[in-house]
Amino acid sequence: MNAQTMWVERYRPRSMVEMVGNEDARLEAYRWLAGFRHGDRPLLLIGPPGTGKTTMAKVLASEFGYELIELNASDERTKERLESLLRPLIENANIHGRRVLLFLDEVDGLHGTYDRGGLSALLSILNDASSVPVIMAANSDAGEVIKELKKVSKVVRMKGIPPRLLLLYLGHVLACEGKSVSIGDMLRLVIGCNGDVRSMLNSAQSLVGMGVHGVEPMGYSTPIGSAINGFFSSASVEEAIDALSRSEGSYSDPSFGYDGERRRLDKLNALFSSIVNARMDVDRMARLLGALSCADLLIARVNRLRAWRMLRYIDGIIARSIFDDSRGLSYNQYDLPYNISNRIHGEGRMLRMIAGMLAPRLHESRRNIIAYYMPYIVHLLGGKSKGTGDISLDDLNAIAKGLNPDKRDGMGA
Amino acid sequence: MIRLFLHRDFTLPMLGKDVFARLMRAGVEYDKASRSFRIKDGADMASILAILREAVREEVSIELQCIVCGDDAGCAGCEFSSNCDRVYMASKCICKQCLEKGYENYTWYLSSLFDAARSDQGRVRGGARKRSV
Repeated sequence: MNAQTMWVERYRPRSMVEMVGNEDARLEAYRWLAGFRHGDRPLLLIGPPGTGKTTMAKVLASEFGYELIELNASDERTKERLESLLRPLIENANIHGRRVLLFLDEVDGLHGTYDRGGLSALLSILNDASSVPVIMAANSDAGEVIKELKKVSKVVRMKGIPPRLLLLYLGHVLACEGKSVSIGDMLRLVIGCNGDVRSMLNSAQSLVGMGVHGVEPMGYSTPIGSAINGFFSSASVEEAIDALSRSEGSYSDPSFGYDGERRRLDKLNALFSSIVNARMDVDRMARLLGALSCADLLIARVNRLRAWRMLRYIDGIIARSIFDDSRGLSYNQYDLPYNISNRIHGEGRMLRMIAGMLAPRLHESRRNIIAYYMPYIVHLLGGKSKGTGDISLDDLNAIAKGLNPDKRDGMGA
Repeated sequence: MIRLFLHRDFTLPMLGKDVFARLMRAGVEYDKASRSFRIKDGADMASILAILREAVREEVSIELQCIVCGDDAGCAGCEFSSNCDRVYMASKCICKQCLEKGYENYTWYLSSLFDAARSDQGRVRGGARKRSV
């Protein structure tokens, strides 16, 4: 076998016996499929990530000779989508003598109300799909969807894998590979993976393959600023890729919401803010921003398709596309020049203050005060005819003075 | 210290009606005949521990079972005891003696379990067919 193969692939369980941990749950699921008959309830696996729910579904299908059809329920959420995907599958499942096992992953991602009948459609499909074994997986035991699904399913709960069992499995993998690590490193690997077998195997492979000792100093925790500076000062593309990949940052998905800290740790954002603050000619900046824009589109697509393993190529793509133009730059955390961001901050603070004062008096929301009332207030108080976008700091000061004459001038400036 | 066994019955001191009712709601069963308690599958372990700690005012710990030999896994003397949050762990672990016997011993035991499950199911299905005939 290829020595470069990832251990998680090489040691992927091919039978229920090869899995580790949650023995009772495995046995229960095994008995369920071994004794499955027309009209039996679907199986609902509930447990935290990394405990082997998906692996179990795949191994069960392979052991009993079923063709596994896998669907992520949190992606296909609406009634129409679920009906159009699942109905034909179930109705035609046994036409050609194919034995089909349907696996619905992340069913807790569905929502009864927001997903326009997704839950009711799923319940109706499960009711009609009694001839096809259906396995569902959920991370959480709480919520409206799981409550409803539990009523119609056989529930099997999976929990974290105890560290001693992980130690046993790690010892087996190292023996198969003919490698050895110190007992201290083995304990650190087991503790550091938090019950996730994949994570443990990846760390162990890095440890024995690259000679990186222990879990903690794996070299992937360079502060974002140092990593970006390292990237800009690298002598070769390979060095630049290495600097990016060792950073504490990541490529996060804006659609899940940004807070300040996540935004700071976003590698693409760190590169963007460093580039827009640098002094360079327009063409060079256009080339750099164009490359980042392409990478941004790619990251968004990877996140939308949930193909997160593709994120490993982003460092290389970015490094190769901006390496020549980005020599000599340095890290900058802020994506706007200080004078502009300071002005935006000051104006925003004053707008919020005025909206906060007016909202209870006018029985309106703060948002509506800012969006609809502010232009007229500026006009009345300042005597100027302006739109919301043209409100200046002086206007805001005038309003603040008019509303609360005791306050000093220049507030928030 | 009170030890809670996930795999077998255990006894508790008299804790009063209120604590008893809260424990039952959290997923503990009481067997009147043997006067012992048992933790149900899917019980809220975090709540059970909190209720007991509050009631007895001493340390309460969970004891896992060894998957291979069926004895206690020896959680108190385990090298991972401070890093293993047993509230969120599966109820079966492995004791030190079985750990030393190696992975083959573990998989051999599991193979026998799955073989037994397969033959049990075969018997059940055969019996069901016979009855329907």
